[in-house]
Amino acid sequence: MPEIPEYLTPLLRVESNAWGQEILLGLSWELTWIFLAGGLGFITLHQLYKLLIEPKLIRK
Amino acid sequence: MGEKYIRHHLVDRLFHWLIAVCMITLLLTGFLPIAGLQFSWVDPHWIAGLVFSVAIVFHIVRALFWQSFWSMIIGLRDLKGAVHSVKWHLGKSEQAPEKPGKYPLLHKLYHHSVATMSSISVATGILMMIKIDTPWWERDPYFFEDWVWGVIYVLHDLASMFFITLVTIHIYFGLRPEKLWMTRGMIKGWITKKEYEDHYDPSKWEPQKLD
Repeated sequence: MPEIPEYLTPLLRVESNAWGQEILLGLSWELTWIFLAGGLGFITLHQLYKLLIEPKLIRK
Repeated sequence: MGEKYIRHHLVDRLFHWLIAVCMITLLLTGFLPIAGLQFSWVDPHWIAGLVFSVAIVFHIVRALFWQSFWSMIIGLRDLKGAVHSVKWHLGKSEQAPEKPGKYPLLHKLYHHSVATMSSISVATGILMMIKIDTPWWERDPYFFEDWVWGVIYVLHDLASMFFITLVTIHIYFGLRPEKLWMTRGMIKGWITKKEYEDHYDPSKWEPQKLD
């Protein structure tokens, strides 16, 4: 099994098997919140654009 | 209401709503157990995934042979149109931007994002089914080496998480007041003549009239 680079481990779910080897289980579930925040952040930015910027544009 | 034009045929609307139901089922059965809500999620998850996969294959075949495949391809004209549109909005260009064909650039970009993530999630999801008991085979967790399974899971997780963002944005635009005519088009299949004339270039998309 290829070794998992240390800088990637915060992004991954890793556990040790019975022989002490690191086993890759998947992506860290903590990242789910980042993707949810990405969607909600996009909505917020779009709302702000519609409210604050679009009315000030020279042409709509 | 006057003349109406067909925007989506019944078969395409059924496809859209079928994959919507599958997608919601997949996201709920995939992420709710992680959030702490424990229930028997594996069977509904793989069944929804299988229906989703079959629907995607159907859509690819239909897009290749029955629909206008090239209308979804991003061309130089789309990119130039986007640059021109930004310039016009900022008052840097006097000439109004061209209207698009059936699918504007942002729709194409969204479609290709969904297509990419669907391809990854379907391919990895089918491989992951080797690890579960189904009516057709018994599970075999040793089919791949551990690290290969790990990579498959990482890719499946990544595509699934992207879908959280993509679905959130899609529902948001579907519910925005100025986009409701498009949502109606995906429910009832038609748009009005005014909506067609306001938003599309007839030289790029000539829809059928509704009888």
